[in-house]
Amino acid sequence: MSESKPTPKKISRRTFLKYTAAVVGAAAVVGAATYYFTISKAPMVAGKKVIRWWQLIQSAKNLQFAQQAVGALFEREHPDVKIVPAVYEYPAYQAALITAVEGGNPPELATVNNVWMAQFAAAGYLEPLDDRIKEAGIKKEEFFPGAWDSCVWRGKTYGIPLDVGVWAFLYYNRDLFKQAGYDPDKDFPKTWEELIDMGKEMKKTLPAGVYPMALGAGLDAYTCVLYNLFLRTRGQMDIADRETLKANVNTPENHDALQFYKDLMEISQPGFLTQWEPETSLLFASGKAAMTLDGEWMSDTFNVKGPSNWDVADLPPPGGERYGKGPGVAIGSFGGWNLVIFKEAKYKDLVWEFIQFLLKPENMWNIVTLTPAKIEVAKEFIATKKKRPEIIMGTLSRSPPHCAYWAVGWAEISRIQHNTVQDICSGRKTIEQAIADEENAINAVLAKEPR
Amino acid sequence: MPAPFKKGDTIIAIFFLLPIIIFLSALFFYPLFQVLWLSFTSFSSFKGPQRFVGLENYLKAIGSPILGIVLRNTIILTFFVVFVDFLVGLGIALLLNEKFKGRDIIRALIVLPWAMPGVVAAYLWKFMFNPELGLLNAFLLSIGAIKGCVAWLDNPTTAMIALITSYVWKGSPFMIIMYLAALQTVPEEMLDAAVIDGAGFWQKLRYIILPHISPIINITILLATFWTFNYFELVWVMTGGGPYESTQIFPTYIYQSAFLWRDFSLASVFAVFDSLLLIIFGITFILVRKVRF
Repeated sequence: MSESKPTPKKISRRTFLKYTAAVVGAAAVVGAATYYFTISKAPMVAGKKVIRWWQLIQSAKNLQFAQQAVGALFEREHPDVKIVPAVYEYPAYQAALITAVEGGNPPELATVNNVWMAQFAAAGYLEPLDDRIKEAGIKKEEFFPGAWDSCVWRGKTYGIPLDVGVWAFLYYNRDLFKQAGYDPDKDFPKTWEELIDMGKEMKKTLPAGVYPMALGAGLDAYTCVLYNLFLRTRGQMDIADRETLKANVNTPENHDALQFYKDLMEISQPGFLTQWEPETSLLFASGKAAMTLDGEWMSDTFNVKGPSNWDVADLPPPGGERYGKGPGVAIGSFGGWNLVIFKEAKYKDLVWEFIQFLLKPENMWNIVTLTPAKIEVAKEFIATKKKRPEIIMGTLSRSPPHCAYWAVGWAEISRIQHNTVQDICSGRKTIEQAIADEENAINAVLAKEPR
Repeated sequence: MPAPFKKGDTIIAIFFLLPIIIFLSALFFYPLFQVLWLSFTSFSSFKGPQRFVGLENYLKAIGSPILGIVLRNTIILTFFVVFVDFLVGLGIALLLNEKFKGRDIIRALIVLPWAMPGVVAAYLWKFMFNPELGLLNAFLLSIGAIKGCVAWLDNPTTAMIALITSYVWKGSPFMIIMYLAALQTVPEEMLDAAVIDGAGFWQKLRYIILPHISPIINITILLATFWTFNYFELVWVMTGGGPYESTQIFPTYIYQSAFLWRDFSLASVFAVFDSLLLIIFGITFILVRKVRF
């Protein structure tokens, strides 16, 4: 039996025009309604100069609430201004920022990670602030050296440090130390070697599912700051030479730093290669790790989420037979967020005024999620809010920005550092092989730097 | 009877099509050509002005080991995900096509993973595979299947299996829905006649059901391949392409190059490779399987 296909129904020109008119009419109604209810109904900003203020959230603090409160104070002094704050989580922030800038619609004010400064400055995104800084009488000595250095790229200053933090401090759980048979005051490790040896012993005595260390190598930015901490504490300040634009990795200091990273894996939780701060801090907070390495900002989280009896110290210096000696103190990797004005932003003078407003101690205190970048404000802030303020101030004062922060290709270099650590920790490569590959890879990135 | 279109109506038709042509040109063809153009230039907004470099970027990419790694990972992931999606989709659709109590509720619930935002699903699965706090290890420990916590995402093989599992969980509901709809078009009388002729389940499946729903199978496999090949969130959140690039796939590498390294040229080269592979696959599949839309 043959199947007869149904004849397609033909539509007349009249019907076609009728439906088209209906679709166009509906679209017009939707468009008009959208305009009426959204664009035209923005009474909060109508007739005002809007300063969109973007910032990163990095701790348990309700930052947007704090931004609104400080913004309201500025609005009171400037009735024609509306401050519109927004906060972002780290993984989304850079993409959101760059998309806005490249789309020609940057926020009027934003904080930029100190390792993005070179990229943003080289791309021509940022307004140089030297003249404004001079005119306003802002002195770099008021800020942590590591924070100010990160604002300068090839002789020009592109930002004002706001919020700073340093990787990393050794947080430890006093109860778990005792449970493992150690007195946290008397037996606290004095060298890397003692730390590793203690970790190995703890592994035998702590209950199943509780680990001597919570650490990872799961995200480029996280892995490289720990790597930098170990490298510097062992005595080498940078992974590459900014004058010759060549990698500087084939050194005993780098070898020891990578060896130490690998040794730490042995005393850490499973999942080392894919975990980073969210997982490691959670593990420590939930009482499942005796130690972790993290920034000083994490003390806010540990205060809220536990463990109940935590304490903090500097990472001990290297030493013993397995590692060479360094300067004898922990030198961290200085991270932080700088206030910048984008070249294409509106109301630059007004934004500059707002930046100066934010630099007032009482305002800076409220809107940071890490630590205020001004030394005097930070001293009081840390003394009030943090355990062991002398340790935190010491490390903040002596730590430079991240290795290769001055390079436009910093993100690629951090990925290379991350891959080097992963190659070694997974056993895919010996330290010597990994360093040789690291050297070639970093040199290839630095060869592309603008001259 | 309504009057059919006349030749003069073409102008009116073009006039009405113009908005959609402009819309598509702006949102599809322009970015497409922009990506193609970028792949032949040196363009990173951080590294000076854009200039034409011919095939240099392509030669660099071909000479770099990462292209092979990304290609291998993407193909492995896509092949296994689509294959398992198909099996799971068809199997569950056959089950849900039977009459049983609570069928409608299950049919509704089964759509949930597909409807869930990708990032939410990714975090959920990442947590599921967490060695210490994850449900999987907790379950396996409770039944004695493992002795200590396993770091599933730390090992290249288990990380890939974990990703395939999460992709299948996320993607198979689409297959289930499509096959379920297709199964309802299989004529009952043919199945009844087959039973009378002594056909069992497998014979009915092979000789009646599969041939009848094969156009839908073709379309779903085509779509699932495209989607899986370009699906970003699960890999990005769960493994970030690691450990040591063993789960790095085209979308994550393109994102990393473009948005973290700001190397638009490199990202564009990989995007062109990605698109070319899919175009070749798509055309071959359509021709070989005689897919009709």
